Amino acid sequence: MGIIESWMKRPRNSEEHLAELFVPGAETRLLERAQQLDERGDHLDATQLLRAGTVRFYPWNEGEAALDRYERSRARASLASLQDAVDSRYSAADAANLSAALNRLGDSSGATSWAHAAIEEDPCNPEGYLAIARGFLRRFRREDDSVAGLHALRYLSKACQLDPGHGECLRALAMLLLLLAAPVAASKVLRPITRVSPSDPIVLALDALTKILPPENTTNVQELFLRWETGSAPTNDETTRQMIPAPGEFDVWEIDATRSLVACSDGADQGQQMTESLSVLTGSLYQATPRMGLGEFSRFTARGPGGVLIGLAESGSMIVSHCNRRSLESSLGRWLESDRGRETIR
Amino acid sequence: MNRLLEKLNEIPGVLGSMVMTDDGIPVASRLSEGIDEECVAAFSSTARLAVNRTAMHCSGEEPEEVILEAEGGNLLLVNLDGATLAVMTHAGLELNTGLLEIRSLARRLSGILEIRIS
Repeated sequence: MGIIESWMKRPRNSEEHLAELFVPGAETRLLERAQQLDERGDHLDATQLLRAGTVRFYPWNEGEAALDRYERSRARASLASLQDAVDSRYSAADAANLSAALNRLGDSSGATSWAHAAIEEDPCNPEGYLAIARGFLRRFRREDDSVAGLHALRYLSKACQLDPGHGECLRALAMLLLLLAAPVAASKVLRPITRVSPSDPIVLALDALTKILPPENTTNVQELFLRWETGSAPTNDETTRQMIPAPGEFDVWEIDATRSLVACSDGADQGQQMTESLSVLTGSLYQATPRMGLGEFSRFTARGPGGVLIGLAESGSMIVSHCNRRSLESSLGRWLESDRGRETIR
Repeated sequence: MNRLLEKLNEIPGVLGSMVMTDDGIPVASRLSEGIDEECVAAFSSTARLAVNRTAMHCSGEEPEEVILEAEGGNLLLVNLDGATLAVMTHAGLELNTGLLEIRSLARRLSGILEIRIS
């Protein structure tokens, strides 16, 4: 290998040094480095470094407090010019920036209305969605509030969909995925940034976390949220799975309180994707209705050209059944509410 | 759109309604006081996505409507081609009677969304 090639293969000094700030026990050094950057006027770099640090060393109260200080002081310093910008040449980006600053200063109603104004002004501009998502992401990180995490995900997905190469959107989405212990998904999201900027702090945080976090075995983000909340994954042991006797036109599955498929009818799909869908379905529905103020989930019915799908709650578990013929909906409902003859087999 | 949502809310038993994008971003809402719009949008979208995915595995087709029943009320989710209509109702409401009216208003909402997109 020639001198030039070997030199090019070596990481640059700054990259080497930055990576050292993400090794275990480097919290204080990272904090000092952020302070240095901030003191010499590199406020954005200081903030990005601290944001990545709070993900790498999560939960890290000292880092969170420092990040909070930096973000607030940046917001305070820029507030007047942001307000001027909104007054003089109103644009979605200006409204979104003002929203972000207000959010940092604790004016959440002002922040929300400016973010919605940004979305209304230009629904295809990702900035408004990103401004809302950042506030939720912060709450998710600091308060372990899963609802805030879910909100952040919705707005970040929308922002990334509108501008797939938007660096800040990708960084924020990767942060969320890393907090959900999903390094594989985060690495995919960060690929465009990793290519052009391998020393980006969030890329370095990802590299450090990849060494600690086992790769996730699901691509379903709803499943990641459920695992984060419950602290466990469904087991889905095929060897102990039992059979539910059911009329030939019905496919039936039983999912237990751990969201694992424990029984199904003959011929019902037991593939990995179907099993994961049923786990997510059970977890999501049990979670959704109380949080919307509707109380405990009891039943769902889905109708469409593909037939009818009914799910019935049973003390923490769920019985799900599908029939291709919509005309059989009443019979399927009646059969599900009967004892289904399961006990004779199990 | 808001007028149609208000009309929907006049159906006996309906507590509130909203239109949201398929990814759960609220577009217009007429929900009762005390109901968090963001929360309804987020969890409706999560529930709908989970039901849709399972239905797709069963039949390869997405459902047109999903009804969630719970102790304290029901939630109807109707597909509007690229958006979703969410309607909250009282618990134990006889869904078949109000459903026809809700479906008809959903078709009109779908028409409005089509005009906006084109």
